[in-house]
Amino acid sequence: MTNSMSVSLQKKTQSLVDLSEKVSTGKKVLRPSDDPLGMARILDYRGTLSQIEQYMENINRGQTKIEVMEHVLSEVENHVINAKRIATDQSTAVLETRGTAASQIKNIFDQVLDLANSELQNNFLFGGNQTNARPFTRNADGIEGTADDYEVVYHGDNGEQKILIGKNSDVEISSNGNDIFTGDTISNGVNVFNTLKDLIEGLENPDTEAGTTQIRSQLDVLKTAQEQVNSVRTLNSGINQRLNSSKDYWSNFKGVMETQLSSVQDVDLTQAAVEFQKAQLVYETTVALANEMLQNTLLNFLK
Amino acid sequence: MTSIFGSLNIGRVALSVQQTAINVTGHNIANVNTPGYTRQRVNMVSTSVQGYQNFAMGSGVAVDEIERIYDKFIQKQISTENQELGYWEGMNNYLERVEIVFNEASGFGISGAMDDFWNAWNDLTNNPSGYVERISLLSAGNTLTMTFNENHDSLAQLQDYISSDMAANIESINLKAGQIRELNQQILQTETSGSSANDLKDRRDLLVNDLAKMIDLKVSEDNNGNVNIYVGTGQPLVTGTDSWKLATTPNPASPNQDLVVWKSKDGSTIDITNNISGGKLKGMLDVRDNIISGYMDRMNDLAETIINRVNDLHASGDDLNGDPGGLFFSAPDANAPAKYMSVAITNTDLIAAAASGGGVGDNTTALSMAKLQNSMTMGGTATFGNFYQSLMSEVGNSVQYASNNLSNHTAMVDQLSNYRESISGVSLDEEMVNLVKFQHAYSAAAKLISVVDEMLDTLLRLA
Repeated sequence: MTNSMSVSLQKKTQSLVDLSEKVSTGKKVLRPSDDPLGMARILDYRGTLSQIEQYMENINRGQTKIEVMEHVLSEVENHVINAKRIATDQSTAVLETRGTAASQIKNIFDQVLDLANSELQNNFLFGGNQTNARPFTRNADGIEGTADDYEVVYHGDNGEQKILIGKNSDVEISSNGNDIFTGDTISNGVNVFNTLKDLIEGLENPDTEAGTTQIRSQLDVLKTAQEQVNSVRTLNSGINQRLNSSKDYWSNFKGVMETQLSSVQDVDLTQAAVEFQKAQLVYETTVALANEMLQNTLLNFLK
Repeated sequence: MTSIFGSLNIGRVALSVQQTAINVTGHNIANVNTPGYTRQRVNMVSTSVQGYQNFAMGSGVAVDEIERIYDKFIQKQISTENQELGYWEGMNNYLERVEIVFNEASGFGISGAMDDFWNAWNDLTNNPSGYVERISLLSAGNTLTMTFNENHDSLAQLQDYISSDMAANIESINLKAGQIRELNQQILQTETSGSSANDLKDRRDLLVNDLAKMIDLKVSEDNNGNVNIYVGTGQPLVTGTDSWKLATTPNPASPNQDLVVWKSKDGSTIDITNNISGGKLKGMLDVRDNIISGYMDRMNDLAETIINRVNDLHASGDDLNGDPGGLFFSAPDANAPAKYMSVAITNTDLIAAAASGGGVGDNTTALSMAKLQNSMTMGGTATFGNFYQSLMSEVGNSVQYASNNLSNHTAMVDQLSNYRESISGVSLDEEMVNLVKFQHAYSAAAKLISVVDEMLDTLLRLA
């Protein structure tokens, strides 16, 4: 009888210990054997949550890049619009201001060149995958006054950078110098630098007649150049939309995953507290009963 | 006429028998808490002798035997059940420790390390030439390889520990076998000299039960009352006259998995490792040789696949110098990739994030690496994560299973013990009643003697 009593007491004590462990750690699953299927799910949810955070980080980085590019390209577009305005003015042969106009265009050229060599975090933005060297350089050394100064060479490539925004979804972020500035990879593409160069030549042409013709011939090209830059901006804007909606999706999904993880992993404290009290009551009752039962033997009655 | 001295004799004999009965009761009471004790009972029989006018006159009482209230069947059942109990004890004990090795509840196990590794490749896709991202990748790679190394080593250590524990248990087996042999001889001596060796038999039963818990036995009792015990495929452990020993010996094929051998008297040994089929030793062997080895194999599979897939992709890409990528992971031992794997790169320039021929900003290879996380790389049907999760699930399941069986068999053994106690155990209440009974009988016999004494006095005063 004492044997079964002590076994029973041991079991009750063990329940108490288990429950108090759960209450104090707040976790239902402390080891795989507590809930083997649950453990697998916990690992799965954790993995998914980790991936979701990573995708959101990737999206953030991508959006930063797009933001910077947008900023740069909108300035480039403005410069091109400016250049076109100046060209339009000069195409009606206002000869006195040609010199000033030429200086202005040269300025624009310099600024567009700088913008084309923009960097983000030590990486050049518009060189395709050649991110560690200036994608656009002048042929010569930039000495004022030589026609060759305005011959720009592209050293980058056609590489596109992709970012991973989902298990198998990558998104390209267009950052290719050829798509934007040289037009080599686009049908009917124009070279922005060349058209500016031609404009400068036209403005500085001593033969004003020939110069005016040259200037006029650049008007359409400049328009195409502006559209070329703008189309990349539009493309990137579309990509940004997609990134935004992905971000929202992941944000929502993350909430769902966190809830699921918690439901498998965490203890419902109220319920656990109640169960603990119950177990305690059972334990105390068993102890009292044991006390009663073990007191009485025949020896008490024989005296 | 019956002799008056005959009556005196009846009284004397009664006194002596009741006294014996009181002694036996006293012995039972004294041993109420002795484990394995079987209560004894005096069987009395009346004696008779040809006597008065051809009537058979009773001549008192005699002790027929001191019986051991013993149910052989229960004993066998307890023995068998102990074997099961021992098996599940061995299993459960060590499976719980295996579970701890994997450390998943804390989040610092292989699962977390793999996630961090793939995340590091992801970060690299965002800035393929970035120094910070490359250093982080190497760091994550090192954490991954170290986690694999450590898990593998911990499991191997556990195997080693089990081998040592087995050796300790075998020492105990040898000791008990020796003791049983001695008891065999003592019991034989006692019984041939005419008395019953009840207490010795109790001790022997207890030892046999203890042995059964540790290893599966074939027990038989021969005509001389010896208990013979055989193990393995019939190797004797104890016979009436002799006992043998078991031992552990190193396994040439594997340093952590010692073999169990039976030592014959001429020094040769027989390997009985695969012939042990029950008891704690079997439980420990199963954990060590089947379960832990199985887990190690699975871990090696996982590690090998990761190493191969990463290295293959890495070789197809270009590093920062424009050269094709070399090894990312090195795994010098093809039999145990998880044990020795390490990151082969220390110079961040040598990480190949770009495609072959791509520029330094090309992230194609890094992107492919990041996508490995969700590819069905394990047998074409599971990702790395899935594979590992199912391993964890199995670990948890096996512990639960062992734990449940342990509870069940513990309850069974308890129940059988209780039943045995109800038959063979000492009930203080019953012994108290017996004590009163025999005491009264003793008093009555004493009264008889005093009555006969008075009769003798009367007779002698006649003269």
